[in-house]
Amino acid sequence: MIRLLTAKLLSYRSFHKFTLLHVGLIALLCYIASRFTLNIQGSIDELRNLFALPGVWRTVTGLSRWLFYIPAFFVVQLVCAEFELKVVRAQVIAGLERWQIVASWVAQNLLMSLIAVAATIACGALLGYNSVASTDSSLTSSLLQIMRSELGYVIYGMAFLNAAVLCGVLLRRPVPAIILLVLWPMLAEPALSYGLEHYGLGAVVAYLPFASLGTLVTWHETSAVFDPLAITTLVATLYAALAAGAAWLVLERADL
Amino acid sequence: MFWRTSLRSIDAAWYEKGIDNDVVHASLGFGPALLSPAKGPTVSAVLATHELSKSYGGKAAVKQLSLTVNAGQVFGLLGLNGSGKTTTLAMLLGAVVPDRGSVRWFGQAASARQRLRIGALLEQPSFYPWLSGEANLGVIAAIKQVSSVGVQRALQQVGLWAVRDQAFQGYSLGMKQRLGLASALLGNPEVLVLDEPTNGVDAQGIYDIRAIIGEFAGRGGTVILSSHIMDEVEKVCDYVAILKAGSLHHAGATKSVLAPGGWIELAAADLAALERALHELDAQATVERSGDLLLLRHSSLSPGELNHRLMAAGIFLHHLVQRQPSLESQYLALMGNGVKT
Repeated sequence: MIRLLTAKLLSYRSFHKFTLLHVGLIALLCYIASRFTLNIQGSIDELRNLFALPGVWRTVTGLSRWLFYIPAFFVVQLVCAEFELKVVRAQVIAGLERWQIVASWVAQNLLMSLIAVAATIACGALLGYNSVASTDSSLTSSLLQIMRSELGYVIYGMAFLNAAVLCGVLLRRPVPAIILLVLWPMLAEPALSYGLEHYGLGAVVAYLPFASLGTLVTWHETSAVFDPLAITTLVATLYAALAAGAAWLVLERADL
Repeated sequence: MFWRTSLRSIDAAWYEKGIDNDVVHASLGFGPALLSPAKGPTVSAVLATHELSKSYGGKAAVKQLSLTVNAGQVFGLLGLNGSGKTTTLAMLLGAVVPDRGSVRWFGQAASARQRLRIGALLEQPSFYPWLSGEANLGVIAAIKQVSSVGVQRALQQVGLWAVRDQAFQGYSLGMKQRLGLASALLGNPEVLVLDEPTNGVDAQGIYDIRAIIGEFAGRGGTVILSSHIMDEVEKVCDYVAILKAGSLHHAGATKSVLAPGGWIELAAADLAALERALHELDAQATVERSGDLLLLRHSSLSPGELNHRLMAAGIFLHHLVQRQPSLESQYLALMGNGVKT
């Protein structure tokens, strides 16, 4: 699997470009946001402490979660390209199981999520280096904050990118697949939430895919803070697994 | 071309022994291909399909196709466009999921593990355009668990070693086809499944590809070849199956498929005496005039035997040629699109 991934991605310039763009934009977004909050005059300490240790990682991951659209577009484009170029078919014919193809996409997603995690850890460290909040900033609390933020971030990334794989496998064309990926959190899920609330099922809304993912990575303290035991974490992890499993089920019965 | 000679001599031996009647109509179902003689001592079935069927949007692409390919055969799959050749090969190779029926490779239900023993090229070669030829083979090598030495050997075998670093999208059609063949040859497969392997390839490339197939078959490998180029099938295959509208229409040894349409041209000083003598020698044969020649069809006698008997009857031939219709014309006649010879 690793050899296949290495052979596929090492020489792929689009992968390098998307990765550099993603990492670069994480750094840029966090830098601009930190400069903006530091320059705020007055006594809005809460805002000014956003980029101070130990909460800086929560802020960085909360901000940069929106940038997961960049690797998601890459994933959709690559998955669709593999269908259009009939590479998936060639690999099945060569002796790869269909679940192994989905597994290689999931492994690729994990790789991209880990690159994003590394980028956010580095950004948090650089931005928080000279800025310590008045609250507890010990090494233990910083590590705990990193773990909480980054674990939530990686689950968010995996769920989002696996959803991108599912869209690609379902539609096999990049434009419709990207539209589906974008429309779900922006239109379909809000509409579904509205409908559920209207029919008195508001309690379910928090467990819809992007609602539950949103609670994993949050940039302000007043929202639900990530808790490894929280039900939404489990639900979000389940969504990540479900997206990969659904992609496998679709691929298993597909003519290539 | 030792292997071709071997195939021809084996075919000839069957023919001499009268084992030439295995051209059977598809209505016989499972029979024809199952009965196909295997080349060499091994007669085990490498591939067996049972009532394989596939429909697209309610339209049947392949209907209850039962085939058996024995070890060591060079098996040709023929058919007009849309006859179901590629769909059949795609089902054999796991790329298309059959609606009904089964595929067994090496005596076991088809699986990815079986496909590791098969080298295949289906339609156009499918590779990442942005990767080099070598990197693309590296992807397939990773799947087949072949070392970089194996990749190097395959590239050298198809003559692409010098351009291994060039991106696949920069390759010519012929080079792409060669790379496809190289990927099929990776890992010393036991079976080669090739769909139109010489498509878009120049004359030298066609010669090279046929030589590679020949060399592979000569080592005892099994080849399943789909092609619409009759000359290619005639030169390469020792057994053919013809598909028509998704069903098995004919199957048999290539020689046998060809044989029914053969005739012998004869000429002598006294054509009328020759005609009488031929009627006496072989009552079942049909004799017809064609200019200064007599055409003898459906004769049970070989040209040598005919000459010998006619000489004994005092008739000396100055023209004696055995003619065989091309597989193409025979094939079209079989398909009912008749080009009569």
